[in-house]
Amino acid sequence: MSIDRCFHFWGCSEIRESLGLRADSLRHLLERLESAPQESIYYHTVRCLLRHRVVPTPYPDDFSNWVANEARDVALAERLAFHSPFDFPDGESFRHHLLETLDDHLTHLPASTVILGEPFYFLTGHLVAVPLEIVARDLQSFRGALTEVDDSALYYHGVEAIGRLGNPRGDFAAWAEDALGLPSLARRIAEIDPFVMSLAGVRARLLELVDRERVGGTK
Amino acid sequence: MTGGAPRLSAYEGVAPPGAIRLARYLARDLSGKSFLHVNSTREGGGVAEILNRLLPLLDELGIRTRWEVISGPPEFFVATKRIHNTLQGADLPFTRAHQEVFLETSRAALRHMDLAADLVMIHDPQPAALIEARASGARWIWRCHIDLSRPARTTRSFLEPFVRRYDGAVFHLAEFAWRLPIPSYLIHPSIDPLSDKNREMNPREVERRVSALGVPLDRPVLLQVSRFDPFKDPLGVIRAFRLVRKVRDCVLVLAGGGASDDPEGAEVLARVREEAADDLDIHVLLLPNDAHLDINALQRAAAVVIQKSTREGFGLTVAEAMWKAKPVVGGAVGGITRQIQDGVTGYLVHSDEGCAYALRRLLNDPVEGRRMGELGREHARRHLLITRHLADYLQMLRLHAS
Repeated sequence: MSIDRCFHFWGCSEIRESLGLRADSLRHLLERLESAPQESIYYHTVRCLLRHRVVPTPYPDDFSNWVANEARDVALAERLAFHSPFDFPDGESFRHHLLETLDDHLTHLPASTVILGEPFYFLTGHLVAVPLEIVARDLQSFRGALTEVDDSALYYHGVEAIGRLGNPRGDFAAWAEDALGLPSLARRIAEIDPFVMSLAGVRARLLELVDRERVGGTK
Repeated sequence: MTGGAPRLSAYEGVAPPGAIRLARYLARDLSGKSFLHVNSTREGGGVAEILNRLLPLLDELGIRTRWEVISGPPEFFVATKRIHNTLQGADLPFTRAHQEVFLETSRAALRHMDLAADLVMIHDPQPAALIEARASGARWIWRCHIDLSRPARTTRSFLEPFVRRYDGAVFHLAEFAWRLPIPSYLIHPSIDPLSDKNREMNPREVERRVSALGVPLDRPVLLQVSRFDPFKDPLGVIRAFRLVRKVRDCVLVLAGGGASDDPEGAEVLARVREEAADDLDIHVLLLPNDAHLDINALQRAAAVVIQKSTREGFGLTVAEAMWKAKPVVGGAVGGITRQIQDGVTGYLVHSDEGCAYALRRLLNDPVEGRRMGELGREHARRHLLITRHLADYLQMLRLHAS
């Protein structure tokens, strides 16, 4: 039986659902985070990358942006934004980190801190992935495909693969190493950090790395 | 249908890369499914406009779509307008007489409407009571396009029992969603970049059309396009304009049409005309419902587009202006806050003075205005086009009818 060494691109689409939960203050956010569904925390910290704005917001996740913009607590926003769920072994560890950070910060604030901005609404998402029938067999066709697929494919293979599909390297890096035998390129791809750039930035960086590899290899 | 219905392939190169392919693959397992939409008007307003353009695309993907419109006597539309206004927070009585005409018209409509489909999407409160007719096995979704964040208690108490009987509800924004025992999905509306209202238009055609409407182009044009509705705050726009004009020579255009389900529009229009009566720099244009090309031209001719709503379901005129690369000054309410990235693609404002100041800034720095406009166009391309909406509806079909 031959092994399929081709890269099959998938795209995805997400419908959002309101959970009917809201937080009106930082303390309320802490309380809600204690019991919010894991999928909702994932939605607000990872899936939000699928909904990036044309000029990226200051922080990568919904919690930090809300804390900065509505609760007007930039120091807390910075603390919450630094770590992503991918820095933790599982979702519960990440929840614990969020709770600890909030709790620690709130001990230094007056008990009656009031928020004048909009509440935080907890959402979740229903993601459907579909095969796009775009296949890459080598670096050249991979490059062509990267220019053709929509942003959701970049998200699906570069982010969702790590967060939900059990591929800690991400699909692109795994394919570069396992199918193409290019560990150096794979390492560079795995270093692309979607939490500090838009999906357009991810696409541009991937194209740059592929082009460098085709010219002389990524060092 | 305005301008004919384009094929899906026509959106290649307009929509974000890959979006059309994604839609085709999302539709693959759904061929032959029937999808019925019901609302209260075939023309006028954002819902009819979207349905006119979206349904042919669903058809092309193999979905058997139909569109029914609930009809009724004038009293029915007075009652539904009252429901609409009070759900959006207006302090007006919603009387037993309103309720009775609403229920009676809904019952009468059930006798002649064909409501059979795999998925039925009921748009807004007007046809909400048709849920009485749901056949077993059919899935019904209530799609609400208005701001429900501060509903009048009486109206909510009347409507909510109907909503609870649906299989799901769709709101534009989380803050509009009621706590319900059914899933509450969030879907933004969209614009069609190929419709007459949004298609590319050369400068000569823009000039010809705008001049024909009597609007001078020798000074910067400030424009608000909307129904003549108190929640769109046309009088607030006039006040903001008069503040700006003290320091900058410019022209204001308030352009809007009526909708067959909006009996209040004439009253508001009369008040606006009275306010603007002696002011030659204010142009109040009541346009027919099919004046899409004129609206397109006005938006392209404008230096800045305004949408100074005090309540807003979503405010698609913002997306239309952004698609035409215009900076937008919008009221910081509802869906406007999801479209305008404050200080990036325009400004969000909270008062007449805030609106006037944002307009002054943009009139004073047209280069910055153009930069904001270009970013707005890209934002609209990614998030506010009909191709994204199409994918959302295919997802609803996958969730509820496959």
